[in-house]
Amino acid sequence: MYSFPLAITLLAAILVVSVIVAIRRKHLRVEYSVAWLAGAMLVLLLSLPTRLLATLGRLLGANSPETALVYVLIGSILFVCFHYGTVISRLRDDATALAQRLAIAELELRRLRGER
Amino acid sequence: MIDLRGVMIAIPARNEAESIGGVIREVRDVASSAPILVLDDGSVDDTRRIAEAAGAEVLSFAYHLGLGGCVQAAYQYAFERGFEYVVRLDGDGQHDPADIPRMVEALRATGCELVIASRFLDAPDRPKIAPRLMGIVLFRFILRILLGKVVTDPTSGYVGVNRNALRLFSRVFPLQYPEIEALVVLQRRAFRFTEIPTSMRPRLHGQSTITPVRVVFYMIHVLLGVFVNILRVPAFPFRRKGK
Repeated sequence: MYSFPLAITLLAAILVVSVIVAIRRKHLRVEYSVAWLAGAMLVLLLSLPTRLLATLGRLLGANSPETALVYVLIGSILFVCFHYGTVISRLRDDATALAQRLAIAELELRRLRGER
Repeated sequence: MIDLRGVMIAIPARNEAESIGGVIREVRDVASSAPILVLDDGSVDDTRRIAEAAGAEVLSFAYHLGLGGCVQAAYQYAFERGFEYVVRLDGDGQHDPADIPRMVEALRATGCELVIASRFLDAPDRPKIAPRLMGIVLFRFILRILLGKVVTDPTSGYVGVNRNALRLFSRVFPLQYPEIEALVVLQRRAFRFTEIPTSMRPRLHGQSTITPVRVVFYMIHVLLGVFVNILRVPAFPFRRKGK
């Protein structure tokens, strides 16, 4: 059984609590917290004193539990980045569509008011 | 004198206060009956005020949308207001408005959805910046394979479109660098395009924002966009359905 550094366990726990607090205070919407929560919960789970990390390390071909953890962290970060990439892309498209409609509506309004 | 009823002129402009008034007056001289719509893409100078004073209508965007976003808004506006044709030219004075009647005539005579005013069709003007020339040659080669025909000036921003294209582009239009991707969007729907010759003039004022680094970024971006458009829409087996 591999004993994980307590600091990592604490960091993962702090991240989980921070995300939940941010949701409660409406600083973060639930749908955008999923990626963070999933990553933090995974690290928390792996940091518990079980054989999970060692088993995962063997499956991933890592030569030590620490290396397996690095794999998991890199995977989690890539997943979170990709998730936010899709969110930002959608928001950008929505913002563009809004700006286009706003500009057209403003021009129509000015025409109706006789300003043009 | 060609009849320009049903034609709208769209002029994208960003911080073109020094040139936009002259461009609008030149357009007025050759197309007095066509409404002029200036697309003010977040200018911080007097572009909007000068364009309105010169008699144009102005679509003013809340923030800098980029060329594709502006042009798509103009296409939406024109389609909703029932225009048959839109001719788009730059606000920096490089495009000669004298070609507008010939572009409309080409759209009507050929029935093509899009007409490109090409700098290279008759007069082989060479781009002054070497990377830009590389880009044009590369895209000519790629488009020749994808479209099955030669496009001599794939990056030209001087284009005319008909109502079929307006309907399509109102919904689907590349938002960043539209020229080349728009050709692929049309081709995937089996729409047609043609070219007519034109000649570029030097900018009236200011400097081009095109740099070698931007050209390389542009090429990568457009290549990706072309690839994505091919993935999104399989080659359409039916012609001219307006979809």
